Amino acid sequence: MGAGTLFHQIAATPRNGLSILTARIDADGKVYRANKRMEDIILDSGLPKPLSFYRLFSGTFPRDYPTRRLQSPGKDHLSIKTLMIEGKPIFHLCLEERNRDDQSINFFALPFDKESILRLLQNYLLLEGHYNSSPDMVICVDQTWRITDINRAGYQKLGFKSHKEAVGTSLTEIAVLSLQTMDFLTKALTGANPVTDFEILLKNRAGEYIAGIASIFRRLSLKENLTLFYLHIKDMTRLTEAFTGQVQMNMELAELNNELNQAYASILSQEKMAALGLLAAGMAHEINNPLGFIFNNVTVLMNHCHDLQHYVESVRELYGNSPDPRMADIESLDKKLDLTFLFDDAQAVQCENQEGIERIKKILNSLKSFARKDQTDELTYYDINRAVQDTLTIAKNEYKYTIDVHEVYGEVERFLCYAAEINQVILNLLLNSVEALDRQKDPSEKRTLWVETKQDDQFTYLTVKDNGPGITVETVHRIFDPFFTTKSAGTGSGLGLTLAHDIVVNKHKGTLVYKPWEKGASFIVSLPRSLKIQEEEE
Amino acid sequence: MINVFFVDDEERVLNSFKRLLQLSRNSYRFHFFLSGKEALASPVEPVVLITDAKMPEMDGYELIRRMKARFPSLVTVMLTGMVDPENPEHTDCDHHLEKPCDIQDILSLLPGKD
Repeated sequence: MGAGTLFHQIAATPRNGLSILTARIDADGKVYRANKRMEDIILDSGLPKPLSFYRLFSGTFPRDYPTRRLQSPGKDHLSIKTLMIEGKPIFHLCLEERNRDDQSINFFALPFDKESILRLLQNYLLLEGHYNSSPDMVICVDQTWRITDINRAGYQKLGFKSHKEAVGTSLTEIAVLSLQTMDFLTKALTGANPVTDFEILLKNRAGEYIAGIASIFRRLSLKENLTLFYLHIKDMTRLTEAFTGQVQMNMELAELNNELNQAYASILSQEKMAALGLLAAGMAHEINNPLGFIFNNVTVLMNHCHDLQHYVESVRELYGNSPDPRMADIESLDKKLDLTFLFDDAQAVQCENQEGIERIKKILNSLKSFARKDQTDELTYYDINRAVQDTLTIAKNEYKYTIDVHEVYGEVERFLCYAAEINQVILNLLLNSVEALDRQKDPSEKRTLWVETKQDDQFTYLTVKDNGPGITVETVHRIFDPFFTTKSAGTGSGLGLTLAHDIVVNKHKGTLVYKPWEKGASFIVSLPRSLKIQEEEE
Repeated sequence: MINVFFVDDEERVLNSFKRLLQLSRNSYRFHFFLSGKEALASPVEPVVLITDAKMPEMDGYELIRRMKARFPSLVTVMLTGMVDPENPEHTDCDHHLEKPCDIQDILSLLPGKD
């Protein structure tokens, strides 16, 4: 905001009948144009025309005043001078400005009492101070969008070295004039009201963007009758960046939160498994004793039955040959009680009981190995190919004659794991597939089981695949749940896959995934080769 | 005659084994006790001791320790609901059987007749 702007602002305010003096002075100091008020003063002075400005206000302006003013830097000069008007000294706020041709000076003088001027000046200095110290950009443009004035924040932010460098630059060079921005500017150009709080994107000399919130209002320039537009722009770049940063941070937080939830779920699941393990151990222990004696007693009872049957058969031989009439009674009692059926049925009852006990024993064994999982076993280097071969041998009874087994062994180095548990995983996966294949009713499909091992830099892989009926969409999400089984009642504990999953995922930090393929199910185990290192890191 | 001590605090377990062993027509002489204390009080010298692990007052490990001290050549068999690897004493016994166990499993562990 130059001195001229201030002067024109003051001139535009009501001044209680005091009149402004204007004159144009040429380089020789001659007044060659004056307003009415000035003309009156000149007439009153009785001085000859063309009037010398120096003589009109002798004592106030030096003789070389016009030359000095025309050579001095800066366009405007504002000062307070005492001018003798009608023989009286009157304080004037004087503005001297060079015309564009640099050959003449426009002189304006506002008569004021001293106090008013000082007050105005104070306000101006405040305003000027605010104007230049404001962190907001204030850019004054003319109707052709050329910058006529700019505050310090403005030229600095836009990358100009000085006020001077910025003046004359077109707004189109420093602003990205989108259709929307143009719309706002046009509104300001044509309308009477200021347009406030619209978004504007500026581009500084370094090519960096500045996001701002702008208001634009117009102001009439008294001299030259120009319409000027004041753009007041608040730099929002940092806020926008902060906001973007916040969004980024929020996203990261959300991600972190997600990870935390997963970890929590995993811990929860591990806790549940541990609790289940304890429960299983306790249950197994408590069931063992009664199951033990029931098992023994059933065997004893079968033996007793057998003895009794032997005895009855001996008696029957007797009553066939005996003349004793009481023997007929015994014979009819034999028939009435249907002893033949009774012994046969007792045999069947015992067999079923024994089968039931065998099943309970199986479940108990599963529960026990389940509960035992975290205990013994130390990390050892283990050959998974060997493990698969051994396990196939152990499970042979389950699959021989009925299932073709294809074994594909990759070149696999030994890796650190809990060997007994890995055996358990292999066995459970094999038995799971064998059981699925038992349900394969399609006679055109030869029941087949594929076992494959391989290894890369990070993982050892085991794939167990079958052409059984596969897993239905409804049940696939539950296959690793404890006690979930699709096997017919009594043939499975529903702990096999749970146990395998727990061993692979929780104990070995690996993955066990179910992957359907066109003809059945496949399970893929990935075990990290650097298990020990991981544990040490933890 | 080989004397075999069988110790379990649960009478039904003991009874069921008693019946089974009587049926199995073996040549061992079994002595059944409901506690370690009873077994230690017996005047008979056992060749084999089969004991339950978890018992009130004196557990199977303690019983084995005391009996071994008295009869160093004693063959010991521990019956447990579950192997407890935290307890190192289970290594003190010669054989280990998990319940529920088969009578044949037990008989197969017994030394032959001399």
